[in-house]
Amino acid sequence: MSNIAIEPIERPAAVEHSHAAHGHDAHGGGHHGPAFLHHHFADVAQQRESNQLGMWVFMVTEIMTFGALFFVYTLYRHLYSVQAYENGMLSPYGVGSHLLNNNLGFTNTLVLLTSSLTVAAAVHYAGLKDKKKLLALMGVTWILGFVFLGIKAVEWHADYEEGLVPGLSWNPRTVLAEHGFVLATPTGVQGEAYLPGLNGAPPTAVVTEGNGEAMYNHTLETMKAEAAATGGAEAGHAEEAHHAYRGVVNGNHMQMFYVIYFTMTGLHAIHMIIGLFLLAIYIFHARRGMFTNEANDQPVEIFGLYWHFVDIVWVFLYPLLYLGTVQ
Amino acid sequence: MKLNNPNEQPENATGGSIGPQGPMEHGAGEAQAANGAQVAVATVNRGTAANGASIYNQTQEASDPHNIGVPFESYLNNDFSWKSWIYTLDHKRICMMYLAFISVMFLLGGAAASLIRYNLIEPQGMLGAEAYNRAFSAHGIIMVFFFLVPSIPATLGNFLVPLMIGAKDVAFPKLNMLSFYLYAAGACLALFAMVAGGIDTGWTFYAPLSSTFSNGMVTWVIMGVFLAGFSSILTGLNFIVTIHKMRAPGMTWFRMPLFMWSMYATSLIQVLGTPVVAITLVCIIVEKSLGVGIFDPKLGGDPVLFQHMFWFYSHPAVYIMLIPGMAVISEVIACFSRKPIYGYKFVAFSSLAIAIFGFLVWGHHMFVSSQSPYAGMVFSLISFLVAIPSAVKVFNWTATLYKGSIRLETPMIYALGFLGLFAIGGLTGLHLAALATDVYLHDTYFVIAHFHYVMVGGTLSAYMAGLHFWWPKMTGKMYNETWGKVSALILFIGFNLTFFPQFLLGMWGMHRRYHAYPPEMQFLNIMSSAGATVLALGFLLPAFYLTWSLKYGKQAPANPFGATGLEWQTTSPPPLTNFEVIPIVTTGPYAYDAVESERIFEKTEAITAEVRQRIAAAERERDISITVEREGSGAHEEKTHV
Repeated sequence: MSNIAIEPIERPAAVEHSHAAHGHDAHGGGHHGPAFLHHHFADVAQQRESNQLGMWVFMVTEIMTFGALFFVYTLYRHLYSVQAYENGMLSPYGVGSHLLNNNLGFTNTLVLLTSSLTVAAAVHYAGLKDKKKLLALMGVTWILGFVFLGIKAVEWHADYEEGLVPGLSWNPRTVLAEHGFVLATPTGVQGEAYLPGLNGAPPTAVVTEGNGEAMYNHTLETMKAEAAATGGAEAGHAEEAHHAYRGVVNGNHMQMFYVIYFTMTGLHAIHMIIGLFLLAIYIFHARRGMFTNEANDQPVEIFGLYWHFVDIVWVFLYPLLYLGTVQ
Repeated sequence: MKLNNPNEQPENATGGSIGPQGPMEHGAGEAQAANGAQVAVATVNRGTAANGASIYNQTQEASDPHNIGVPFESYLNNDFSWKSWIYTLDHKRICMMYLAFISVMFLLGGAAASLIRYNLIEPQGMLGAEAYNRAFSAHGIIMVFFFLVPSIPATLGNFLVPLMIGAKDVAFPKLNMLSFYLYAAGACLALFAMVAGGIDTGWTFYAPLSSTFSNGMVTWVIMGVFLAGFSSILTGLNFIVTIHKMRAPGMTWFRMPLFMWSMYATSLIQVLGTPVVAITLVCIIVEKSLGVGIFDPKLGGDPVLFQHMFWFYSHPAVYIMLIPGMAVISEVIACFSRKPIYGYKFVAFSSLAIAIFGFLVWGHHMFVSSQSPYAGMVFSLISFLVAIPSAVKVFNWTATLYKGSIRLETPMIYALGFLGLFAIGGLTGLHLAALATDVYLHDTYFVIAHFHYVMVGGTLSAYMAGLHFWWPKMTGKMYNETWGKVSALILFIGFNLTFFPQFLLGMWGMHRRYHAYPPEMQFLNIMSSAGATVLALGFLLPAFYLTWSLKYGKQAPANPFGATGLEWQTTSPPPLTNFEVIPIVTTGPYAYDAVESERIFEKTEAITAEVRQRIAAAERERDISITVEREGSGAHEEKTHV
């Protein structure tokens, strides 16, 4: 008799719709509890716990995904810093960070942290079955996420213009000169790169200029002298835009910084896009009362977990990528 | 009991598909227990066999179409439309689709293997370097990423994980379906690339060979592997959540079959390891498509970093392939020696120990790759440690066999083959884990022979054992036992003929991945190629008689091997929601001693009953004769004496 008691008398249309997508017969609506309870779970508590654990396990997977990239970041940062120090050059990660737009990065961090707050509030109001506030907060979260991606796009576009995108537009000489740096690189020529300070005595080869970049075949001293001359000349020309000579940076190593920067922020942006896509679907569901009609607020909570995770990744990315300093 | 049969309800019996199904749909848990509704108590103490037998009888009756008017509805026959397969969320149907797809991939990988063996018949090579490189790359990639990694978890695991813990399905059926389609898409992508151009990097995709010097097909193959990796992650995620949250009432962690412990350990590796190789392969694609040098030393990258990140997944991946094999062996050995597994907890935790140690030994693939010798020493030491849990398992299985009443049926022959071959594979692994011998044996055929003993002799034997063991449960049909035994023997002989000579070749210094070799090594190579033909026969035979059994095989009873475990308590094939009623578990998984004593008890009972019956019959006869005598003594005295 109690079976009849727990069976919903009339299922809301919205929930009916969401279950119609299930396809296979047996996976249609469960008839042993509320309509959102899937047939293979015994009760709502089991379903909630499973969903929650599933999301946490997925986040562990994500940590390993980003973790691999953080490992690449750490390894090269260590290797390159040591090499740069030994050769009297600047840390390529430091110079790379210096060229990124910290103002935009900081703004983005604020935007994303605010969106974390709004999504947390949305979870709260979903629990309280407050449809209006839930919808408002989800909307604000969506807008904030979109603003984040917009700012990111502006940043990437600026990087592209400045020639800081490896593979697509890599010609950082101008922007480096503006900040007082000199680029040392074998310019992709398939020859023996001479690393000053590493390979013994500097060769007395003919100095060639290719692609507007200084070659390794310069000795460090020649490069410094050249840079001081050009930097000094340009400094008089435009006082604010051009810094005085600061040092030499290994072009390949700085390129690696940008490869890692774009891979990591790109992967993060993909996660943001997936998050926005999910959120759009959930806003659609929320408008039809899926989360507030019955006590089915868990999808919002699970989404919140995902959103916070993507947030936390950015919290690690921002200082590691933007806040490096040139020694 | 009859009340729980959905077919007893007329409104459900009509129509082609199963709708809401009576009391069983109301789930387990407190409500049902409080209701006093019917529950099948899967006790394995004295009541077990009796209880199991009663279910057995009932399901027998139900699954026999001649007995009742309405055919029994199983997951296979509840709907025959193609849409019901394409859109299925049922873990059993997804298992069958995986099985079909994986078998095709295995066939293709085997075809590539036969090209390799064909090439090596002549010392200068029959195919030439280019074609040979493509053949061994195709073989490695198909077999590792599209056969071995998903083989047991995605087929047997998918089928058995919910059944063994008494759940109706995995925790996330949609993710399960997504997992299959990702796998299928990845496999198609990789196959397309191999047909369209082929790649020559081997399955390891070492940079900068793959990123700089190889052709553009590498990108497509890597994307295929990437998708298959996601499929693997989703399977692992599903199993972890299912094992944590979906166990039937009373199914505690230590009442789970060892299969489940192994699947849990496998899932942990899948979830933790696969993302790393996924992102590493993405880095290769980035490097290749943008011309930047993440792993290219010319551009400041570090190729050894690629090897570290690749083997961080790919060594644990070896255990993704192996631990499920061990899972199957635990079940089969217990069943066919009629004994509980010796040292249940040791075997259970050794699975987890292998999974954990497996993450700490990747550097033993890189002893000669400019890795620090101190790192090499540590990796060597930890690699030796992996031998401990592996040996615990092998010894415990052997101890289980000791004084068991062993039945040499097909799955058991495969399982015994596993024990021997895996022992050889594992012990030769120690040669390769030792720094000094590895420098000598590195990249020789010794390595090839070693991991084929583990992967083919180990995992594939176990896969065949499991396939034969659960085939009646999965399809509801019995295969031909004689053919099964014959092909198991052919497999064992063919395998040893193929791969044992390769140990010797490796010791002599034959290098792997070379299309040519010194002429004095020809004899053993021909022997290996001939053995491969026998091995191929050993794989083709089961393909034929198992397929044949689908149409012509005898109807399988619910428990043809007299095994314990929840999956044997439901019908063969199981109904759509696995169990007529949610089982309640009260004891551990391998109560074969209880089952055996129950069998003896029943036999004694039967004998006693028969003796009683005969006595009664004799007494009746005597009574009759007495009565007849009495009657005869009265009226018809002459007639009785005539």
